[in-house]
Amino acid sequence: MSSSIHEFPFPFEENEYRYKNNSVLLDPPRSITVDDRYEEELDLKRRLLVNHHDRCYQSLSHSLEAQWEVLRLIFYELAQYNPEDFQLKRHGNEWIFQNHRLQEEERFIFRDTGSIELEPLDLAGRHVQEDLILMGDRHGDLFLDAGQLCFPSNWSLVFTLGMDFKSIHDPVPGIQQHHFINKVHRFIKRIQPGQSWERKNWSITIGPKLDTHLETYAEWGKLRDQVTEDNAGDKVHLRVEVQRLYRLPVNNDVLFTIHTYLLPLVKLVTHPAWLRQFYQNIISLDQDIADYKGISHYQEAMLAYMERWLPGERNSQHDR
Amino acid sequence: MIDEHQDLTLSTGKQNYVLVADQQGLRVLAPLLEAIRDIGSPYEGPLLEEELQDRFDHVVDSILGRQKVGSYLYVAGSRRLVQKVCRIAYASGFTDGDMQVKVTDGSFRIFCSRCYMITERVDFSVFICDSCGLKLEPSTHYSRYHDAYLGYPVLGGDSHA
Repeated sequence: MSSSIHEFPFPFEENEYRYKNNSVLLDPPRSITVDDRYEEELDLKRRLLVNHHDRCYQSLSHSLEAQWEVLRLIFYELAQYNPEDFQLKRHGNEWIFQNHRLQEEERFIFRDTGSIELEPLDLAGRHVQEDLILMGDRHGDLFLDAGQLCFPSNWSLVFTLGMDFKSIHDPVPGIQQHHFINKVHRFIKRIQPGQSWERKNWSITIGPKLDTHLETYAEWGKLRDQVTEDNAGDKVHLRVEVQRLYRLPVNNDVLFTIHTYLLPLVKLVTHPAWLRQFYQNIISLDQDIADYKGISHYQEAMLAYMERWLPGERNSQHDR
Repeated sequence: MIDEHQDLTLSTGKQNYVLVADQQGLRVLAPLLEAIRDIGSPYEGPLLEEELQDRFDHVVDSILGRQKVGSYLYVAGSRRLVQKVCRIAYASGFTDGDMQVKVTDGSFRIFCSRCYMITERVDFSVFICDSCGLKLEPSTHYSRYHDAYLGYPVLGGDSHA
């Protein structure tokens, strides 16, 4: 996987990590981004969907109308912002979506499920790099009604299907403190129709692996114990999720999109400002968060690796 | 989220109460039934699984299906019974705010994070999934949809983190 440092959405703004709703309003409202890894990631995504469809796609039947609205949003957005690569033609309710990057064409009757072989969300997701999660807004809460999830950071779509927003986040340590999860819930509930908000979330992945499903943890989780100071540069990857929340104007549900980026430590150390800030965040990480993110296994090895480019940094940390 | 372990309390100001239980759950409902009678509110039940036998699902479905807004449901009994009645209740338009439930048999359903098999357990100790052989550590992460707690993979004696 090629990861350009120039396109990488470095997530840290401070030297110490803490939960923060760092969402920014997007103008124009966007829910997806197409970049130079499009073909590579779509190829992986589609192979996962073919071989492990249940793991990567789940939906509740009542989400179908909102799914059509998501499909419309995604195809419109692709055509509007990348007209050289995507085109959308409409003849009444007959739609023709052309994907020139993949040399494909989708023809269907809008809102006629008999005219497509896949559910609308499943079809739309096969043309974008993002994972797509549809949160139904009802009874004063948000519920995971449908999702196409190929690149999760260690969670299971099958288990979380139908779950309410706060229950989904139960395992995150300290998220109840200062009512943080309640504030985020309130924030999402207040997103206005047609608005899109963006935030960045981060974790660490060992190896250039996007598809870290909880279901396959036994395969990739053991790699965490193989990190040493000498191999940390190649094995440790900063994983950043650019997450966007878009309020669907017609159904009033919320589309949650996740675009995942990976940057190996060996590239990160070439950016001195990022290296120092990342180092300071890792060395000051609370133990429960380090455990939750799986970093405890190799925290010392990756710090030692980064110190090769930051001589004396640990001592100056202790002096603070 | 509905709390199945909390003691049942009288929710006042309701139009009607419906009570559903099995024999063991009936003991839990008894004081509540007395309190409902004391306030003179209309109620239906307790609908007892052992009494209704084969007709149980149909009767519960029929009674919950004709309830109006403002009705309130109490369910007490085995996890299997509570799960079954909750499904009927949700399908009839009840929400978490319209009901209280109490599980009396103390078993827990654990969801395998690899193969999705659900295993009934009496405690939260580590066990091996019968279906896929993965060593699982039950967590407190609960899904009402699956009515199960998530079992995390355990690798070489070290938990998932």
